[in-house]
Amino acid sequence: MNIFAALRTALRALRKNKLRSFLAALGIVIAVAAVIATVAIGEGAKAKVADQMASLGSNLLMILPGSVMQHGAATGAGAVRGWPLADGEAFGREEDAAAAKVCLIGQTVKDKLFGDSPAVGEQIRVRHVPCKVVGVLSAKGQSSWGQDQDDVVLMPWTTLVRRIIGSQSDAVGQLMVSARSPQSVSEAQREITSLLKQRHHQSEQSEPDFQVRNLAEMQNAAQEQTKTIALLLGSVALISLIVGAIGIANVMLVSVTERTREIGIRMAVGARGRDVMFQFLTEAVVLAAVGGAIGLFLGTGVAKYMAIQAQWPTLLSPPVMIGTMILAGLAGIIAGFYPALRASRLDPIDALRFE
Amino acid sequence: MSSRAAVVDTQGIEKVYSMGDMKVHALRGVSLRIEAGEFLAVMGASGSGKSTFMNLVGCLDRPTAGAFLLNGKDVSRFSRDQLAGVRGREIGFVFQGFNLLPRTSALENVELPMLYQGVSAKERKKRASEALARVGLGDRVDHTPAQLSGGQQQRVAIARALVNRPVLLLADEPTGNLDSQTSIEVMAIFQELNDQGLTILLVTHESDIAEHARRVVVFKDGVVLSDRPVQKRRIARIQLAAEATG
Repeated sequence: MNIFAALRTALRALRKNKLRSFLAALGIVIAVAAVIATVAIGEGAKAKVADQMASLGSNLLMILPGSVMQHGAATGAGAVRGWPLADGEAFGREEDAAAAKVCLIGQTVKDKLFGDSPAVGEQIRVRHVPCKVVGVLSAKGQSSWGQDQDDVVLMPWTTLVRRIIGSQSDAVGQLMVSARSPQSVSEAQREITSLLKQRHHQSEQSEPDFQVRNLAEMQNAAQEQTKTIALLLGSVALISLIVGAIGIANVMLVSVTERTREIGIRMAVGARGRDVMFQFLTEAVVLAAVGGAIGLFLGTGVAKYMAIQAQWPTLLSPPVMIGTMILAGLAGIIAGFYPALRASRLDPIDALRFE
Repeated sequence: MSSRAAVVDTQGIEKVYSMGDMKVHALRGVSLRIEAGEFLAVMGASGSGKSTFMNLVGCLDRPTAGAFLLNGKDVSRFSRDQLAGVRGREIGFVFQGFNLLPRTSALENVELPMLYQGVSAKERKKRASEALARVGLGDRVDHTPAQLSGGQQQRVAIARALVNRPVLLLADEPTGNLDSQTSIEVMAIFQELNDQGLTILLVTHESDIAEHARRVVVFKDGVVLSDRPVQKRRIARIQLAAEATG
């Protein structure tokens, strides 16, 4: 029996029991969809983290209160983040101390407000507070998941806190510190820890009530997290594939029993054991492949929906898609093997007598 | 024609079934020759061994002892797969219960034996249509078994049995599920095929059906009780004509 005849026979057999075939394939559909969608989401998150890492300066240290990450309010100074200027000059300590009404603007802001004319020396209003533009940051472009990194205004943090936000306290959520060179990062880390402990009235031996992290540590942490997530997703995917395969094996076993007489007829008219085996294996693989294709479609749809509706970055990975489809096909072969073997070993006389 | 081998030549075949400790001797040494062009009816009560004999001649089973030559080849020691090949190429089956694939068109049912002989799709379709036309169902190729009467279903089964041009047609109680009129119609087809040279082995327990054959063999307790030609052969075509006019 050639492959086309086997495929035709398989498709006909599966069509005769549409609902059962669909339910049998459902496990594989869900498994494949879950793998495609979660990997897309995971890869998106990974790309986002890598992106953020890349946009930070190289000698950077981050000082965070306790173990709670705080986002948002702080403004990074250009010098710290190693962000060169396209025009003008950066503000320094004096402006910081004086809470001077100066700022640096990103390319997008400059283009919007000033077009082609020079911006340095001009005044802009930040929440009704006039600020003098002292420099223009060089363009960074879009981050890989679509955020415009040039749509930014930087100013001394004292200016932000006192004049714009209007807070009386000088407390900050986080500090970004740049070491003089990559070699001095760990020394700086030690010195900062020691200094902050003194200021916080903590003994040298006690656990600090803040964290000083360098970029390498943060990257490691992010990578560890990614690995854990990938492992978790992988095992969930594998388990759902196994469940899907069991579903197919179950339905194939029922189908072999139900069609014992058909098998007897086929054997009587000349089907060999391997013809019967091939027929049922083809059916199992077709079930798994159709399930896999529906799952692929569904998973891609979910990933796209997440990207558009939930603003969650997703990244579809073709190798993962192909790999998952191959796995689904393998699951079909494994699931179909025992039922097919059983069918092929039936005795034609008994099979013909089966009611 | 003396050099030509018999279509069926069983040489003292025995079949013993083991049921736990008990051994059941279904056949106790049967030697029978069926020459090309014969129309043989096998009769006997249930338990006489006629079904076992048919299964062995149909290459669905192997004898415990003795040799069975089909068309000159000793197939009694063939493997399962070799037997399947012999069934597909040299034997055509017609069963009591028709044994057609449900929800499958007559044409595709008839194509089935060719599927396992590597016949191309085009050739399959052509030969299946021809076989159906030969049994008078040329206009019903797309009907499924459920859309056909019992007699029509049996004719589809006959077309399926013929499609690989077998050397032997085996019919196991082919009229068992049919009324008497339809039974005679089916026997008419068999007689016509036999007249064209096809060797037929018919298993039945009805003596009036057996009388359509040319020779009748009666089994009892696993041995051949009698083997003689039919004295007053029934001709199905004449019976049908008589009924139509009378």
